[in-house]
Amino acid sequence: MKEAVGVAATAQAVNALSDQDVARITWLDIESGSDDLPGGARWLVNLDGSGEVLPLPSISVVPLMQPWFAGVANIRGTLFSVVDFSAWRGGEPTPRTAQARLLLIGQHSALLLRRTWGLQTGLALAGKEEKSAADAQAMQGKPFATADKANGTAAWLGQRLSSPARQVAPGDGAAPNPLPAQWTCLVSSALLAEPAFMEVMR
Amino acid sequence: MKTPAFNPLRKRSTEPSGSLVHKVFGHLALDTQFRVLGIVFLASVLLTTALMYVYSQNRNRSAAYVMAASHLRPLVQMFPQATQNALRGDASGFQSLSETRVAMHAVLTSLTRGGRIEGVPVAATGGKVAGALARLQQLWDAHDAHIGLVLAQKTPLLALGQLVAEGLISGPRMMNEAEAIGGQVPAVTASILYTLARWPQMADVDENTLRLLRADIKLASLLSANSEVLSQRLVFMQARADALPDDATHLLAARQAAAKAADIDALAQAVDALLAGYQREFTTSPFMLLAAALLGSLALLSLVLMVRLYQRDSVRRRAESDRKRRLAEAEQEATQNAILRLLNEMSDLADGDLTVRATVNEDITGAIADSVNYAIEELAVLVRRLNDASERVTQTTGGAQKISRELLDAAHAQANEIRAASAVVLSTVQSMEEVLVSAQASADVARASVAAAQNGAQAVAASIVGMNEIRGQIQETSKRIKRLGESSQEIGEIVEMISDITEQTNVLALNASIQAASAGGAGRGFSLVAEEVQRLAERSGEATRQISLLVKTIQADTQGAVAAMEYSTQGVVAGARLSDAAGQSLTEISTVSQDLAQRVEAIAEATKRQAQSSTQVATSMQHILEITDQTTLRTGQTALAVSALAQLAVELKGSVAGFKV
Repeated sequence: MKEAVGVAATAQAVNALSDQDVARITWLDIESGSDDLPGGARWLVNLDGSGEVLPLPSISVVPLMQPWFAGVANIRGTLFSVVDFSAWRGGEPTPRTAQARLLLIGQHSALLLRRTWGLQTGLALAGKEEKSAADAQAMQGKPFATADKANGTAAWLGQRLSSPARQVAPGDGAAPNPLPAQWTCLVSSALLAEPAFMEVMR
Repeated sequence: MKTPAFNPLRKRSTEPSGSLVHKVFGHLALDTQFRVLGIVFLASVLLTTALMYVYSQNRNRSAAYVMAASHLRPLVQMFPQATQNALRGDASGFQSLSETRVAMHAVLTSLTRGGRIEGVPVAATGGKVAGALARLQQLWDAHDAHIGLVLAQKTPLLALGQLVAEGLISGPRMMNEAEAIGGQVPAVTASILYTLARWPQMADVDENTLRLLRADIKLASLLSANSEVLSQRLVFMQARADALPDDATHLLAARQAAAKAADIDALAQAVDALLAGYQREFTTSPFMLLAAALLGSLALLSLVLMVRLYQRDSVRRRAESDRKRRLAEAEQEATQNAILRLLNEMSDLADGDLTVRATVNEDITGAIADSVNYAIEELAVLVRRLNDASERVTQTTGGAQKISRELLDAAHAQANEIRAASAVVLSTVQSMEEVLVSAQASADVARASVAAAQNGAQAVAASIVGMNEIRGQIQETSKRIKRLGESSQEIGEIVEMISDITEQTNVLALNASIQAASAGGAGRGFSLVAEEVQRLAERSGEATRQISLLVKTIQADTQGAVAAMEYSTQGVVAGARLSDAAGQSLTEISTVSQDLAQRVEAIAEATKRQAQSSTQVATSMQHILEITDQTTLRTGQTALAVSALAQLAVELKGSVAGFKV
């Protein structure tokens, strides 16, 4: 319990970033699932809390596991358990395309993502009310222990950020990196501390 | 009138010889006498001429031979002198000897075989004189051999002669010089001079004598080297002595031959004998001259006899002709009287009285009178018949005149018909010519269409060739475009690879940024670089995506172009096929037009021939028309002639009316 409190504190610290901090930090911009899932499709990972990004390796399927548990992968001699982030949040399984990536977090965990969009800097805090409501709706029926399903918050669900430079005209699909309205910060330590994340057995 | 003068002359002149001639020839015919006398005359003349020719020939030849032989005698006389001179070493002696020998040879050759001696022609000698000539020839051959021996030794003999002459001329001076020198010289010089002086008389000269002489001369010249005169002479002598041959036998032989050559008695006798022979041979006998004179007289006598015979014959013929002329004159007078009587009786007949008859008697006019009577009777019959005939002619000519008038009308009608027919034929010819012109024009048109069809066929063939080229080019282009598609495929693959690499780069850049972030403040600079690399990788990935899109577009376009080209190739093939069909159609058109042109030309040719035939018909009708016109003319002339005939019949009747029948 004590450890869980610690993790929550860390999450709280992450969630308490000021505007100035946010503008300085470089984020890893990732995409997973769709907008109706908790946290939406676009996420930002602080480089301090993230590991390596890898192209999709061969993943060995483990029987009698949760559907979102993609399997285990051998990365340079170390076994990593791969969790399909979209499926874990209750969405469709991530398509195994050329853009699909593994994001290593912690010592032996990896997230299966649809794609990575590179690095983002100079972002700012965004309002969170409407998004939180959407998240709250999305979290209903999900086994997230750390989640406050009424308010639509969870420990691994960080602050909402937006790009002040975002000037994307609606319908302009030619831009190489279509910037979203909002990103959600992924608190990787909190994710690893989430009990549902560990319940991989069926 | 001359006859009496002729007769006494004949009697007088022919009495002495005529009696003799009459005895011999009297019984012969006149022309036979002439022939015998002519033969005798000709024979005598020929014989006389032959005798005279032989005589003159003999004279000429005798003169030539005697002249030739008389040349021989002085030649023979010249030999002793020439031989002596030659032996003494005189050059003129040798020349004279050689010339005389040649002259002798020439004369003898001319006498033997014939030729010319000093311009006088001489015949070859024959008969009895040939024996004398052969003997002379034999003697001369021996003599000639001796002379040849002498001439062969000309050089040494000349040298020897000079040596001897030198000894004789310079001897005394040399002796004086020698005695002036003294010593052995006088003796040697004397020996030399003695030998030389003795030489001509010496019969026993031999090699020793010559050798001694040479030795002496050499010795003397050695000894007398001081005396200029003596040594000069001696050198001269030594040169001559060296010219002499070492063998003296030839010199001796020449000397003996010269002695024999100088002996000419036998030769001179032979020449005399030859001369005598010639004179004997060609002296003409006096009998020949006498015979010639006799034969000449005989010829003269026969000529005189022939003249006499001719004169007698002509006198006889003249008397015969005189007698015949007198008889003819008497007969002529009697005939003239009888004719005058007959003419008197016939004078009434001239007035047209055909009842008159002449008296018939035994004179020569009796037969004529009988004939005349018969003729008068016949004439009366004739006059009666003439009267009848002239009446009938008058009637007939009336009918003929009527017929010729009808003929004239018919000919006029015929001419008019022919003119009308001619005009029709000419118009036909004209229309045929128009047809001909039209046919030729349509043949030209057909030929032009043949040419046009051929031009079209050529154009079609050219367009087919062009279409084939286009097809080839399209196929080539299609191949190239396909290759282009393949190339863009490869480009797509390469772009895929680049895309992979870009992704990896992207991931690497991300990881580098993450590592730099985990390194904290130390990795700040590296983080910036990594971010830049990551951004570049993203941009290149984007570019790669665009390229692959473009490649896809290109491939789609390429496939579209290939399809379009195949379609256009099919179109070109179809067009070529169509052009081929058009070319075949044009060829058929050409063939048909050619056929058409030939047929039209045949029509034109036939029309031309027809027009020619019609023109000939028109020409013939023109001829017929001319003939008809001539017929009309002649018919008119005939009518006129018939009228004239009727007139003539009337006139004939009038003229016969004067006769009393």
